[in-house]
Amino acid sequence: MISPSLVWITVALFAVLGGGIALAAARENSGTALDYYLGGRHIGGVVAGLSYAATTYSAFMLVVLTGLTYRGGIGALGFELIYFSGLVLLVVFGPRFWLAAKRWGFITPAEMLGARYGSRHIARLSAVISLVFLMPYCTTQMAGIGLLLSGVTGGEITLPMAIATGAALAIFWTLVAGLRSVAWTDAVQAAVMLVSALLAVGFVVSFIGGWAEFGAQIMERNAAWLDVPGPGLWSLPTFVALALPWFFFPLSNPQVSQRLFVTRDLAAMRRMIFWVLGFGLIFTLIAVIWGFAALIIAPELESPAGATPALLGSGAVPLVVSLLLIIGILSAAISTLDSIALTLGSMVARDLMNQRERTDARQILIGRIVVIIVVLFAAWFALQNAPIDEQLAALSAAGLIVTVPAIIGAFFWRGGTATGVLASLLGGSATAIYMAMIAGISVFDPTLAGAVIAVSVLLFIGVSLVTKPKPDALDFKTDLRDELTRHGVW
Amino acid sequence: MRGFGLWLVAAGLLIAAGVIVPYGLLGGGTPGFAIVIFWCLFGLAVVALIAVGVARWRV
Repeated sequence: MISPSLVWITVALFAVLGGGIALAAARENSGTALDYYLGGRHIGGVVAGLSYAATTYSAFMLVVLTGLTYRGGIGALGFELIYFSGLVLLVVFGPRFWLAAKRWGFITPAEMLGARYGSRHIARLSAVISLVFLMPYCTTQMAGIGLLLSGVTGGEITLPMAIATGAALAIFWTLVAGLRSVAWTDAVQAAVMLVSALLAVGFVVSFIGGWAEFGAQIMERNAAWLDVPGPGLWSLPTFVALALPWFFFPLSNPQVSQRLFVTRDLAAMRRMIFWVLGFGLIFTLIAVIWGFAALIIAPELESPAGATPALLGSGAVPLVVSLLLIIGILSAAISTLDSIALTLGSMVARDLMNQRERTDARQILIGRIVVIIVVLFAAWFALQNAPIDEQLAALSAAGLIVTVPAIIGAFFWRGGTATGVLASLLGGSATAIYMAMIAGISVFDPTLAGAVIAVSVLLFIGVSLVTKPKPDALDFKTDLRDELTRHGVW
Repeated sequence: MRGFGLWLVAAGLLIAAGVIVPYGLLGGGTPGFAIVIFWCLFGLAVVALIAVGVARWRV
């Protein structure tokens, strides 16, 4: 157990550092909506890459993924690496998103879809779907913060206190300068996440007796965890059920696909991709090693979600490194939370409330109000449903996948129509909500993701074939062809 | 577009292998580090595949 005073002092230092960075970022802002939501499309490759990484790699990693490893073994590594392999989508879609956004001035992915198919209803519906399905993901981040801080202090920092702290930081860092403060604080937080996790894993492995001893103890005590399906969790259907929707995460989740709008040029986008790749691979391995280490050091946990607090309180990790890792996990949660809140703010302001033609100040004001509401709602919801579970986190991925057929069709199929997209979004999301919330089908059951994908794809293609494109629909495939060729993009 | 076709096929095969090899070939036997090593190599192969895809961008 770690002294709550020490944890509070560390969090306070972290808050001061992040606050300073956010205020410095604010000095760069010009006051336009483009600047607030996309950093003026002038973000460099390193900051964009670290921000992307911090946004996509959340508290899920060292709370849920570590727990999945603890519970089910090496299948967690495979699942996360299939998710990682989804980054191949950036090779094809990264430049397309960037070119389309630059050419037509898009700020949100929903706005891009609406313009492509010539329907504001599509932009509105995409915004609503994002709001509905990203809330469980926000809640997971909040619950992660709460469980971590209360877990490592033996409950002396209560769940409400921990969640309130995370909410305050996420709101402040987002409101100050929008994407620029989010991206700058994300970049620093990504560095903290990686360095602290590397140090912690190093100390834990050393505590066990080195890598050879670590491997030997796993073989001796938990050999089944090195196999698939392992001790039971990672059956092939479960693996597919979780991995399939997560593979499409770079397209389906607007808080990351909006990052494809922010880089200053394609060179920066390429650098961004390499930073995400490097960070993602290392962080994935760390999270899984961490889970195996917990199996050795704390083998009798009631809940796998307690693996990280148990390791930090075990004495295997020096206090300073434990405190740094607490900040690293806090960073992972906050960086994801503030990015989602900002993206949802931009979508509500520009797509749902249709304020695109209004003043920049009004668009920013609405976005700021939405940021506060989203974070407070996630905090409240996390307090009502404190026990974190994988179902909640994975439901977002299964629900948001309904946007993927329309996104792929936007760039590769001229025959896609607005009616087809609306049918696909409505039918797919209704299927996801019915199956997960009413029929009670687990996200560990591939029927859920499979049915959602099948319904949204079939409705998109089927309805598009019997309807006509809107006259004012854009033709990305033709209009972007010359620029894609000039940039050597497939 | 021939290059893109080849890259796409390679990507499809690699990702399919990420599931089929551990579950179809390596899993279910005597537990060891074969699956760990395979998935680590899979991760590196993904990085290489993406590097090939973005290397040709004229920026």
